[in-house]
Amino acid sequence: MKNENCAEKSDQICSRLAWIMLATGLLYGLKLITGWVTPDWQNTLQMIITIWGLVISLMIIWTLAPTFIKKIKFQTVEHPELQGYVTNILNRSLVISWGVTFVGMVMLHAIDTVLLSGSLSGAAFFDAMLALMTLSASVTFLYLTHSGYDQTQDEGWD
Amino acid sequence: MALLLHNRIRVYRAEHRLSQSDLAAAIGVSRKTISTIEVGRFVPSTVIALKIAQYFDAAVEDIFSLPKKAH
Repeated sequence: MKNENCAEKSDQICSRLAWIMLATGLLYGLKLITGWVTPDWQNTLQMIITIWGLVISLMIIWTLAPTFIKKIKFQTVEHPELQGYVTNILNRSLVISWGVTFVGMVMLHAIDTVLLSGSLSGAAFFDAMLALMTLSASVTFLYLTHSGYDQTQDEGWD
Repeated sequence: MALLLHNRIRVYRAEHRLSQSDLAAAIGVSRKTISTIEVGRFVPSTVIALKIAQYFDAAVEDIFSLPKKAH
């Protein structure tokens, strides 16, 4: 059944954005690993990163294009459901993600200083920060919104 | 998990023979929002609570109430 409820579409966009964040996090995770492997593996990983980047670009277009097309075609804007459960969880996930990223960066800096003698580059820190931020936000969001988590099923009364 | 806010949405839905999706569409929220409010996982905003009450033509206090303190 085609659902015309705008709030459902808004939720769907939020979920897709979470999957895009997860994919982006994995991409930056791979980029981080690239610096630690042999040149052969580096080439393979580089190829995977390029393909993965294209996949993420397609996911972004797939998620946002319908909204933009609708806006241009019908001059209407779909307002997100700002007070709904999914938006609430998205905000909560972003808050958790900030905390995780901050703690993670402090720990990474400590490891770099104590164990690696400051050998980590700025680019590695940047990749680690983005990977932590996007992975923690997306995993939290997807866990808290997955079907069946503390929810009742919809039932008709007829 | 202790409920932060008791609600009687399920009872009102049954009386009006409405599904969660029907109620969600009627007040402009998603089914997941209604579902999580019903099980007490999500405390709705004042606007959503008022919309639900208005839809059922009831007072907000009839639908939502604070849990009684155990002494």
